[in-house]
Amino acid sequence: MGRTVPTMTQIIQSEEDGWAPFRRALRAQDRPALDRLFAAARHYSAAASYVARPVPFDAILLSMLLEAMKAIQRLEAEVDALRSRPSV
Amino acid sequence: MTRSVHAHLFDVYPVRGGMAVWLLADDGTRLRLVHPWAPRFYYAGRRDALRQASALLRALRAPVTARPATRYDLLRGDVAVTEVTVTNPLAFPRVVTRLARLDDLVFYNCDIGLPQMYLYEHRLFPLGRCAVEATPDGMIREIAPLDSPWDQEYTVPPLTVLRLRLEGDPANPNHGHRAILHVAVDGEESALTGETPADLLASLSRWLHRYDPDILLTEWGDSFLFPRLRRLAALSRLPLPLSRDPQAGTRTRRPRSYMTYGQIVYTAGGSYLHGRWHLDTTNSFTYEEAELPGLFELSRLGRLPVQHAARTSVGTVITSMQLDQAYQDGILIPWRKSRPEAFKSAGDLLLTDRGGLTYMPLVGAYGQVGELDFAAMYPAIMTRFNISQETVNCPCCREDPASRVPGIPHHLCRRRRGLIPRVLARVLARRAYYKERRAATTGDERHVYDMRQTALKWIGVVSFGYQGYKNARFGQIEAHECTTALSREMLLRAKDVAEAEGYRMLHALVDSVWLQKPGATRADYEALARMIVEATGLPIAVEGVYRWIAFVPSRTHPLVGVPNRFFGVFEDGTSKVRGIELRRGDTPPLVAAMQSRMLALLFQTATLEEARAQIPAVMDLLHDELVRLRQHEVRPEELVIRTVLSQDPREYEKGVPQAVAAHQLLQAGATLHPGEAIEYIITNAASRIPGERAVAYACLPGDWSYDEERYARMLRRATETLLTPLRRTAEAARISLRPGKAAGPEPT
Repeated sequence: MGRTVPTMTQIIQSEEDGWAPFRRALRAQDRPALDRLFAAARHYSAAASYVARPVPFDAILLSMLLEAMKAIQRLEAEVDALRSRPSV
Repeated sequence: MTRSVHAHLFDVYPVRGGMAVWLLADDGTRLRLVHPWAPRFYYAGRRDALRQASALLRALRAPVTARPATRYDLLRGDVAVTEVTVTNPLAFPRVVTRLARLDDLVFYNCDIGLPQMYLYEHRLFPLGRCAVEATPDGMIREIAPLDSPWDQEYTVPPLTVLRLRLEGDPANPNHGHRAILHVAVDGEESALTGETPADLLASLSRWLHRYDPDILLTEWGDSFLFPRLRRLAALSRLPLPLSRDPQAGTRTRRPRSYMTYGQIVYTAGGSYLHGRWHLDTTNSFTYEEAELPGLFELSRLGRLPVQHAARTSVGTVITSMQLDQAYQDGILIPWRKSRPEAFKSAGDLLLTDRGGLTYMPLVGAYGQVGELDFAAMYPAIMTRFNISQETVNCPCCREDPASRVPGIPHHLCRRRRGLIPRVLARVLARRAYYKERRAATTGDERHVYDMRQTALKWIGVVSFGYQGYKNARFGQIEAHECTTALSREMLLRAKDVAEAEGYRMLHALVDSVWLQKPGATRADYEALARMIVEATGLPIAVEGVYRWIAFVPSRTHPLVGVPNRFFGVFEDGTSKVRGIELRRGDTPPLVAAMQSRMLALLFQTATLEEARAQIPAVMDLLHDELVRLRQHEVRPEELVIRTVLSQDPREYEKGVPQAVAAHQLLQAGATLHPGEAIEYIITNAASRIPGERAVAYACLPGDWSYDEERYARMLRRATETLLTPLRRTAEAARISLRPGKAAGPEPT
């Protein structure tokens, strides 16, 4: 069965391929962070597919932001926990 | 003077002036009768096209009559047509082919197999009971069915089966495997040896005469045994009475490769017999899945001759059921479906062309997980929401808000019941009945019910995909889109209900969800399932509660999961394994066997903690295999890799192992087709000379060797697959994208 519209997984792959020169120009130590952002996009591909935006990169960016926000929340929680610990 | 016979219908095929009808009479005799019968087809068109057509018909000098008639077209209502009756069925294809060359004509009922058309028309079906009035010279005056294919309980009359196969390993003989021909009937068996081909043919003929079998059940009969036997018979000028009908030989169909669900599939050509069935167990999807009881079930429901049903796709069976329903409803069956998709805006296309929802699981291992599955989700949706070609975007319900499909700009009819839901509802009810009977019976009886329900399961699975397929007669892409849109809606409703009840959704895949909540028991999951049934109106059941389950990360993107790759053990000790090496067809037995021993160790445990404690024991198993590999204690059959050829072997990029092996097979005289599997061993993957990289298993030389490094890597990877998710600590697993800290030693 042929598909008229590529799947979200295929779209993310082709976006990542499209950003390959960007990645290449990054310093080696910066690349893992970029890779994690694309991993985030893959992780939320069900939601990105469901929203079906005409410009899929919008949904990809939002997925990346979502994962970054989750990291912030996690760190905030850890900071709060550390602060509330009685100082010696 | 006529005589009456009560019998089971065995087979039908066209002969001059009618159909040959084979019966299994109640007194045990096998009868060949002929039923005079004239198939009909229809065409419609503008006046000048009709004039051309009738001129052509006259010029054909074939035995045809034509007359005007009014018939019903599913989408256009009553239409004026010309009805053409062909008095000799053997001339039918020729008449249709000639007329089809004319432009501007619409044809109906012209490309249905003649046996099917005959069976639809007379309400008959293979293995159905019938009452026959026949003349002394074997002409049928009248034939009437005594039961319906939809009767849930039926018995199959005793059939004599003669088995024919090559001795030993059932490897594909077309790739060089040769052995002695082995024949068996009813527990009696023998190896057919003969000094000469003539001896061999004579002893096979003796078996056929002595037992007069109804079925020849072979392994590799279609692609190997029958073509060879026929050639032997021709060379030695000896008769080979494979068919029971003395006036007919064997009919062959060419092999073909076709594309389905993104895969290339190869079907060997068929050798069809007359008055006797030839069934090749290696060339029948239905037989492999559901054996004879399942094959008979589909044959009956589809009104398809058994030999045809055995070699066709389940899609053809569904089509035949729909055609039969259309025939009974007096609906014309269009030829060359001329109904393209209606135009959509680009935005609508994005909304509609999406398939089922596929989440990425949260990678890692989890305890006390419940899996809930919607039962036969797509067919259930099609039945419940009345999805059929003529119900999608019907003019009568356009203004009815309740008819809208959520999320896409289509609506479904709420006034008329569609053709496909009517067929499917019967199949669903029938399968439910067989599953009930399976639960209530034991032994052989249980097996029959199980095989029948398995065959019906495939009808459900395929019926949905078929709506979006260009060859479906009564399918249409919009119907397909409504089904997937509703599946997404219902899965999200299930998620909403579960999350509102405090469950975490670890994973969701089209019609299944994996949920976790601390302390949740089976009873809790059952209660949740009932709430989801309430919210969706679709049947959903607890597939099971896992003691623990592990979702495996992607190999190319290690931070993310893969939708269908996991392994876990249920509370009752049974397990479920998907997508890992063990389940893949191209994994060598050495690797699959090791992984399965590792899983056996892991699955013995009652909790996730106990499973993690098994990691060192799993590593020991890997070590043992690596030692065996290094010390050359492995047998060649353990190393065989089986790959399906995705293209013509000559077009492969030179040097990949399957191309090397395929090349060797071609050189040895084998014929290979895309979609066919080949078997090989990797000898030296890094060699500069492509020919040294792999060797075809069928051409294995005495001094063979293997690529230790390559096989060792496969063993380590298979171990990694199991241990990586288990090593994720609870903390890391909570955060989807953080690589876990190692909780055990890395594989060496």
